[in-house]
Amino acid sequence: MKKWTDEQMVAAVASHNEAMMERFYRDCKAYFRSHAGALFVADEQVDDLFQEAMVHLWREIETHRIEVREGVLCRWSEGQAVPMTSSLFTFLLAIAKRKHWELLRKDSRLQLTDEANVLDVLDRSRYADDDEVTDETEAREHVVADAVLGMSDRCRQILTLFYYEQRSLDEILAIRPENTSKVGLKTSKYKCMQRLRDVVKQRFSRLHMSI
Amino acid sequence: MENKYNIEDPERLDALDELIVNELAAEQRLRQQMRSWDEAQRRQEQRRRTQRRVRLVPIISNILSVAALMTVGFILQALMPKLVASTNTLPAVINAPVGTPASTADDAIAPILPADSSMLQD
Repeated sequence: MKKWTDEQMVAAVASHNEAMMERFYRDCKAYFRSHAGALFVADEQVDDLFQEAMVHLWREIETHRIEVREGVLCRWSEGQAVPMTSSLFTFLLAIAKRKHWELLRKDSRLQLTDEANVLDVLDRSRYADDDEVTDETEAREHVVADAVLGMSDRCRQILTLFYYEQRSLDEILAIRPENTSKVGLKTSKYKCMQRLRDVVKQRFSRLHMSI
Repeated sequence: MENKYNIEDPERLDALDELIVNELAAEQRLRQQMRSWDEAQRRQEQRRRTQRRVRLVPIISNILSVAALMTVGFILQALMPKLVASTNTLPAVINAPVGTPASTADDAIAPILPADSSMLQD
């Protein structure tokens, strides 16, 4: 049973209140599991989708993409903070639904037509060309966070192992048997990073931002 | 194209890479945190299950004892008529006609009475 308001929870996450953060995580997980059936998600996908959606939501809060302004929960959209029309739980489900559809698109040639109701909750036009970004530092974080969140699992793993865990290419080869050669792995790492850079550069450019 | 968007020079590329790596790091810290919370919750549920089992053991053992006793009782109840029929001699003694000589009943009673029956007189 939820005993906190969305505004309280966003404030707690933004201020790194660990006890509240854990509570938020568990409540979200319980809610997600009880409603995942509505997403037509297979059991084995529930935990993965939840984690992806949770990371996305969490990063939006940590980078102040979602924040409390004058006691109201808002989300940055088209360069301004707009009061959110859904609860955090609903927003979480909407993120998961979109990720689920992205997975389905990759795996099949299904024509997914019923996106409108989900994307009403999520902001479609985050990066309108003609809008000025008011807080450039935070917007920069949003752009990079979005690009990283949109990476493929393969690229995420390679780049995380190399840059975050600072493993050598040989160690990564041992962890990832699907990479058969060091040269191939090095090329994959380079391509993944390059793809990320290109996505971020494009978005920065559209928002008239610099690095 | 404006020069500031041309970030192919190494310094700007490094700045971009740093942003990307920082984001990757933030994401990984979050995933690790979530894993530790999942682990804590699993341990908590395991402890609860163990405690539930410990509380239930004496209750279950009492129920089983009562059930065992009741089962023995039912069995005895079912077997009792047969046991009584096979071991009981008293009905035969009671039903023996009066005056029958040296009945086992008389033999049983006789030692009780003293040889000198003067005690029976006033």
